[in-house]
Amino acid sequence: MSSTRKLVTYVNFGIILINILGQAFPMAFPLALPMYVTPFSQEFYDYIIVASEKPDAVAFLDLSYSIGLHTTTMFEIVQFISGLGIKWVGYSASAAVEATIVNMINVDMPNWAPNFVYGVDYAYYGFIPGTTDIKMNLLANNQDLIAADYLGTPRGQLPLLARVHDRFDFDIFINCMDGFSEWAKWWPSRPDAPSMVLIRSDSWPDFLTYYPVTFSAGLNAPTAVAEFEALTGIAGVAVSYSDGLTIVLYWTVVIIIAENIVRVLKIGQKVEAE
Amino acid sequence: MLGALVGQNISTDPAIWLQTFIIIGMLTVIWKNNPIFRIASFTVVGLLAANSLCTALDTINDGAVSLIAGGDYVYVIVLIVAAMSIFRLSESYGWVARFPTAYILGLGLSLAAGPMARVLLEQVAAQSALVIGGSGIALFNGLVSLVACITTIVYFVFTSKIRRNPALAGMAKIGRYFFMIAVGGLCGVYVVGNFQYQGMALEYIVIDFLGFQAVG
Repeated sequence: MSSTRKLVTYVNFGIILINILGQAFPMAFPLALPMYVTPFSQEFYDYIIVASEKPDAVAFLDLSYSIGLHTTTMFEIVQFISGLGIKWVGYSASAAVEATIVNMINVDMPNWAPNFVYGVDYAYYGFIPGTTDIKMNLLANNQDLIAADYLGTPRGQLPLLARVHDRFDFDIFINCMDGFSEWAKWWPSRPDAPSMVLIRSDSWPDFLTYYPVTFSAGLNAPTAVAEFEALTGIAGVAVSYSDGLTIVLYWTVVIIIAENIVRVLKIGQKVEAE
Repeated sequence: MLGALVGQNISTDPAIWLQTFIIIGMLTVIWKNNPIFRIASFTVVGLLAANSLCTALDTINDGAVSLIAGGDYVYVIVLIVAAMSIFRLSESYGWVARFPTAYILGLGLSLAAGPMARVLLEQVAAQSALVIGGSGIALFNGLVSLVACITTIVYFVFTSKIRRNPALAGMAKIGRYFFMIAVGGLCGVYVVGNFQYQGMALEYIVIDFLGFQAVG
């Protein structure tokens, strides 16, 4: 390996290392960069507030994110709606997050909503394998098809599950999963019952094809999650997470400009020729 | 100072240590391919395969075996159809697996077709409303979307007669620019998406392993 090629290897390694450290550092030591709440995040927050003003509102939650910030945010949404008194029925398409959700029900829910009683104010179907057919059944008249909660308790013994029969019994739908477009087929456009999505930023263009008709609002993680945390007052990690992402994106812009300068000035042409 | 902070809060959970080892092992590939990277990547692949197998067995048990044991013998059909899928591994009898695959695909498509048509029509109607009844920036956005949509479709029409028409050739050229902008945007979104995955990995190290309470 020539000395020039070695130099290129070191430079590449240095670029990626700075990228990683630039994202990790604000997680440990938050920078509190200025933040602007976008209309999308405000809309997401407002729909929840409006739903909470309905008497006895019930939300349907798809709790399927199983890694990182998205899982944390999913639980922040549960914390927020429970704190506002919105009852909820949850389901998960991911086996990997099942234990974490059960832990949330047993440990966190009593702190977030002390007056909430399992089976009366919230319930969880558990992990159910399957895709389109399961989603259709969850929002159809599904009393027979999904007969019990995650513990195997018959739904007739759980007052909340006994009263929700199909999608028309829910007042708000919050979808925390990657394949949100699958839900688009089964949740009809209902101005009185908004459907909302927590989205990975790389899925945002897909979401826009369903906005605002099928899905009423979307939260584009992680930046919009930081805005959501600011609106709700929940102290989460998204703000420092967004700071890291901001630094990394600025660094990427610097690298793109530097790369173009190198190309224009034909620096390193000899290396490519080797 | 950093050492003291880390030392006080570092995790004592073996699972978190394993998780951190795997993440750091994976990251070592940015220097070069090495044994630590290979151990970490093989461990992840093995664990994922084991997890998928356990989930599949659980699903078969909950969705068929336990129901059959309870006297609901109609679920024997489910087991037979599931067993037919395994024939995909056989060179001679691979055709048997086509039946369950065709059934699943047909069922999924038939279920999806009706609602998807409704979703698409509603979305098209909403976009059209922006152009027809909109004003200001909404009207401008709607018009740009409409022009982009039509010109991009023209760009992908390869009929030679259309290509020879100067007006349509001009539209196709505009469509090509819109298409390039869209692809560039998607590439940018893909890069951001990968930074997000990097952030998730770092979150496990910085917050779960090192114990920083990164509350903004």
